[in-house]
Amino acid sequence: MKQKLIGIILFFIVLTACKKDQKNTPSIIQDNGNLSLDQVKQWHKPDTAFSVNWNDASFIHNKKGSYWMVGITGRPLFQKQKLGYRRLSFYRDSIGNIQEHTLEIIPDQLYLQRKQKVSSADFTGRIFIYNTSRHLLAGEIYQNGKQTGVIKLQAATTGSLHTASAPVVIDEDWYQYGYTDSEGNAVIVAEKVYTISGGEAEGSPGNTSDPGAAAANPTGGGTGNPTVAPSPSNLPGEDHAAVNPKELIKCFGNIPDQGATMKVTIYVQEPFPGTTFNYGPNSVGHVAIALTKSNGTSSITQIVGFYPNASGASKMHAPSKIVDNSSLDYNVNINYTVTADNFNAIANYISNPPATYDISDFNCTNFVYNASKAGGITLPDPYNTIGLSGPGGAGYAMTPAGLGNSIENLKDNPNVNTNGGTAPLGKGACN
Amino acid sequence: MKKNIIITIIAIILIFNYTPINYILKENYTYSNFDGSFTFSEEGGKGFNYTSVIRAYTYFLCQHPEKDQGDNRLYRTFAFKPWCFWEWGQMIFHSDRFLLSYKKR
Repeated sequence: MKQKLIGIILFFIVLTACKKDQKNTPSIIQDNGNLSLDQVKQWHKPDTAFSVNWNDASFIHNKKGSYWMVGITGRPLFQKQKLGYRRLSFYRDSIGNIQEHTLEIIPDQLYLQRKQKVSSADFTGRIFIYNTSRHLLAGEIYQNGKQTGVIKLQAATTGSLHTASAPVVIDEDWYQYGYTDSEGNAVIVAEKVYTISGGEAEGSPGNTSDPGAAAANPTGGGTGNPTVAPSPSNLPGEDHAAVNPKELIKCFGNIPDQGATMKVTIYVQEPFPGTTFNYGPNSVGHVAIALTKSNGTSSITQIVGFYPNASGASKMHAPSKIVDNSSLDYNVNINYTVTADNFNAIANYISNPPATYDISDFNCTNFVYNASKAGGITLPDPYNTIGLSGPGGAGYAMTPAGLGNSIENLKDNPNVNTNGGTAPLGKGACN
Repeated sequence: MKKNIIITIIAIILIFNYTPINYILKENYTYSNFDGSFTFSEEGGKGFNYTSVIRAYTYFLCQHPEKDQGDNRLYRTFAFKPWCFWEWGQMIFHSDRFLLSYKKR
């Protein structure tokens, strides 16, 4: 009896803990009667500072209502970048009057970099909704096409902060920051992300923007092509994780080729050292390539690896990035002395890495193998069996385990080390 | 019956912690110093580990002695999610990283 009582209490505690946050921002759009584009054009008062692109007008009808959406010039500044774009929406309110809202749509930088374009199905970012008086009515946060949070105006601090958009305070669940809207005004807002347990966010607050309508096809408005991925993102720390290989390779220019010794070293961190297992204590393992150029007392080493610029399941196939592999723990390595021409050919390959990472078709091992090949080096056989035998059969791919095992088999060669160690520090970027 | 359920649960936990599935699910453990001038990512099981992080941070402090004054602690910038059972192996056997103070990115 006592156990049952405890069980029931626990059940209700869990139910209470999982209760969704209340979302109480008022809905904005009302659907009331037909509205033609001509009516909208006649009603709209042109603004000399911004032009409307009526040619890309689209009529949206969803369960939240019906409205027209058109592009408009001007781009908001978010995290110091002109990143977003704007659209106007027109609808009839509950008493039949035409209403206008300005939507400032700011895709998440990382999302935009990965996807290269905005789509309604997976829109990730923020949408700010203004009325004609430039008063922020509401804001919405989207993740993979679904609303996951709300944004409200932080009136208490309006005007007291600069526009750098640096986070300034965390107040309970609300996260406060600033951004600069398309008209150059500093807007201090607070946002709150809530959890959606699955499916659509029922009763999402102010869900006027519907990324399907607002975020998709956003090229209108005469703003050029706002959906092109921004140049290097200013996400915190992102610069540190990925390196620009060109800046690393540039350092070798500080040492003259004449009389220089050039060496290429391949470092392998095996997944399960001493075996051909593709997974083990070192996860899937890793292969890195180091270039060393020495002349007299000067010596420069750069060591890099090829990675997916993604996390989670996206790591299987994703845009690539080069990472500085200084101090990598390795199990085996093999080194080669090369000519200046071959050294430069490898350096050139590393400077222009393939754009896409694929865990089986083009991973860190493929990258190092191809880089070496560009410099006339044929590495020991890196192929290994992957997957399970059975229907469809096992596949073969270049893997750290395959390359590591083949290098281990050459352990009597003078250029092979099978005792492991820590890779040297690379010099880093040279601007 | 009860025994089968327990065995199944243990098997699922082991599979998610010690097979390639873990590579897919594994978090990119990220770290930072107090002002964000040092950041590091373990790249989700591809090459780096917590020792690499400590080594990199030590090197950073040597290169930037001014950052070694005052708050020179290393912070984790990934959230601790105890319900992620595929991370339990890391939490139990490599708990150091989870003991760091949390700092929002």
